[in-house]
Amino acid sequence: MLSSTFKNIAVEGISVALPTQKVAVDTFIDSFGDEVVSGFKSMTGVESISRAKPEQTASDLGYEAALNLLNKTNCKTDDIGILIFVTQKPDFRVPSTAFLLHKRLGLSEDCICFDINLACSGFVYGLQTAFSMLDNSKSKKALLITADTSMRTLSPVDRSMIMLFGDSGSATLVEKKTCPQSTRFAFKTDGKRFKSIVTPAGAYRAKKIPNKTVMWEDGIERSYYDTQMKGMDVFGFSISDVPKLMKSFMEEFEVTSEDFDFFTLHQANKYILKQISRKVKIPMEKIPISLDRYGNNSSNSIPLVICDHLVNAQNKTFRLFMSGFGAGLSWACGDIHLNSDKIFPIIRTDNYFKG
Amino acid sequence: MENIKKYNKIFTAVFNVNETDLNGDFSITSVDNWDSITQLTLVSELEDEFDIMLDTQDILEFQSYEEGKKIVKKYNIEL
Repeated sequence: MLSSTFKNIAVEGISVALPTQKVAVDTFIDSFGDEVVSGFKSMTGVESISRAKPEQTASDLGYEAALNLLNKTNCKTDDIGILIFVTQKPDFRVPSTAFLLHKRLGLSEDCICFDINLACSGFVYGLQTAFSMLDNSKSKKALLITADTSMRTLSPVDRSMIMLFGDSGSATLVEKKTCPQSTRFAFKTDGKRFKSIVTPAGAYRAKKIPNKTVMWEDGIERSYYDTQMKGMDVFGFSISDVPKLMKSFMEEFEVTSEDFDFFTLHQANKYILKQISRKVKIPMEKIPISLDRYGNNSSNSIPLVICDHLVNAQNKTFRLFMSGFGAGLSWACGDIHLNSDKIFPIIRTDNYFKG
Repeated sequence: MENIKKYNKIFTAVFNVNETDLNGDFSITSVDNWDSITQLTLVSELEDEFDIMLDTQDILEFQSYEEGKKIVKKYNIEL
């Protein structure tokens, strides 16, 4: 476990943007049948998801979340010295999509910017990167944007994924300030299991594979440009490796589940959250759920659950245990303090970049 | 309802089959729609029905009708 601790850096704002289109899981009954859909809803807890318009990219959702965040926090763009964009669905191969966001947000030439290619662990990784770079630079503020449109690489007949993933974007402002509490992070990686969640073609390793569907060993038709998830492997990882890291994290930093107000966890599915609750001995009341209305939102699951559940408390500081886990395989934990006044209501948008 | 009836009812609902289809050959290799979603739905429904919580290894190995019976019996459920 790689861990780190930071002092005098804090999250000063968090905003989430969803596309306007809501898709009820029941609309898949015609494709997959009543039994499959009702079993899926009962096990995963997902009732509906949000879907981006065809023209809308992940960065469009992240941009709208960032714009809302900068307006709500009255943040001067010149103060932002670091822009990090976490996504698995970039606008371009070259350059990093962060450069388009840099232009659209009007950030300074003295701002570092780059993409991180991570999925469900991406928010915690991005946050730690922002904290680290602030800690080691003269920059006052960092902007972390996470966004995904997972739907873009899902086979329409993949009943294990097409009903599960929602689209969204988030923006988080991280700032140097005097504060009494420390922020901690911890990470694990297992590249040996990289095929557990993979989109094999579309980059440069498998360049000449035709874009046609074939039957995979799980009996689902996909092309090599579609994402495949080995469901039971990922499930096993989620309910064994992830709780193990959460427990190691709490042991190392000498905290217990009672020290945290909430466990804002990656919204993989309801059954996985139930298993984590049981293994780490966290009451389910401390694990807020947003997947019922929004599904699994990749790197945005954690900011989404925060903005969904903690937005209405008045000037209350929450201590949050975060955990994100997924493609890589990659898993991470965080311990942060966040004031409810820094959490903004979720916005809905169909806007996209027309440049 | 007898436990075996409850066990069978969950299988027939999850896989949309008749009770007469449930036999020693009913497994992940022979049933078309036995995938991660149906396997986890099956385990989740059985846990709720019998008020048990399976260990990770048992969930992963729950890959046939007969193997499932052995696993459920480990949790003191008579079938």
